[in-house]
Amino acid sequence: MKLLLFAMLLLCCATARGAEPPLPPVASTNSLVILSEAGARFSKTNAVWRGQVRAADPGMYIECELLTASFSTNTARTNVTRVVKDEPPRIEEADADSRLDFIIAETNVMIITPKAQIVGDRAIYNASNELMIVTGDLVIAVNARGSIVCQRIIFDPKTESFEVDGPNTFVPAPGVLSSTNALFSPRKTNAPPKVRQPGAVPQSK
Amino acid sequence: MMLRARSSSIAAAVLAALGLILLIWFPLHAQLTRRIKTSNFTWPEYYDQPISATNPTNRLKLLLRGAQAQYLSNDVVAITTARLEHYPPSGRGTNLLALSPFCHFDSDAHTVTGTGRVDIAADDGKIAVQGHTGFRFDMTNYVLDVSNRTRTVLRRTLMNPTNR
Repeated sequence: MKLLLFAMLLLCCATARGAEPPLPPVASTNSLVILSEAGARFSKTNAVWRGQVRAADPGMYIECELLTASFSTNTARTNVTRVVKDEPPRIEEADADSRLDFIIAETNVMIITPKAQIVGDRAIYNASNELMIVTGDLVIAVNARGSIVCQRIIFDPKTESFEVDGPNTFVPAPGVLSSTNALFSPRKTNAPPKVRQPGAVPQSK
Repeated sequence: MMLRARSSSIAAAVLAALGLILLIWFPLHAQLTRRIKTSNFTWPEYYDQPISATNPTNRLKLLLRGAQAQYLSNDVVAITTARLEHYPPSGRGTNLLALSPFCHFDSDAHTVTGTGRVDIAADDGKIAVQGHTGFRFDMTNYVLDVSNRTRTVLRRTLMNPTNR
């Protein structure tokens, strides 16, 4: 009898488990999450986060000490109406539609994307052209091909490609040394290499 | 002569009595306001302009509500389960909603401050802010300071409005 009851209980549990709806898939957040340790200030036009700021979205992770985001609101103030003749014209404000203009990350900036990593002093992300300009005394950008040391780099988060301004040093990654070695090898010519004959006197120019 | 002296003494006595009443009344008034406790506290603020020429009612701008409120002074109110709503000039829904379990509202400085948690949703949920250890909201200039640990979520549509 006990065994029968136990079996029925097990059956009930199994059916109950089977009736449970499947867990929804983990939704990928399509948002930028910003954490800060020393507070934040928000106003109508900008927001400032201070102290160990960490910002993450599905395609990028940023660490810095000070992060500033600037918003613009395109409040429509053009609907000037004059309902009654003697009444002064009234300005009807439409709903302000906020949009991000740019983000500035300052002090100990580190940017990590799936394929690249950049370290610098200051990074400016412009929402209009969706490019990030990283500057600093020493900007280091690393990807699968190698690493670049410079003072100013333009990074495209969409394609994860770099564009370097000014003097720079490129250090190829060990795996791609042979393919990029041509960049650093002397220019090749079709002329056969000059071989100095033994005993020949070098020609004076 | 006697009558004039008597009337002047009566006037002086009345003045003294009035002065005494005022002296007693002011501290008493302050004491009374300090003890006032209310439930379902509501503090509305309105736009200067009326809704339309035909509707002279001013549109609602801010609404601060609380489950309970206690006047700490004539200007400062301690509010429990506070909820602050801001309405745009067009009047279509709220564009800012702030929740705090406990805060102080200063009607003179026009600020809301708190030492605890605050949850804010703004701009149709495009911006969400969580503060854990204190905040100050300036209701005049709409400046929010969140102290120490904060968590902010900016929705992608805020960064690229074309991807809506």
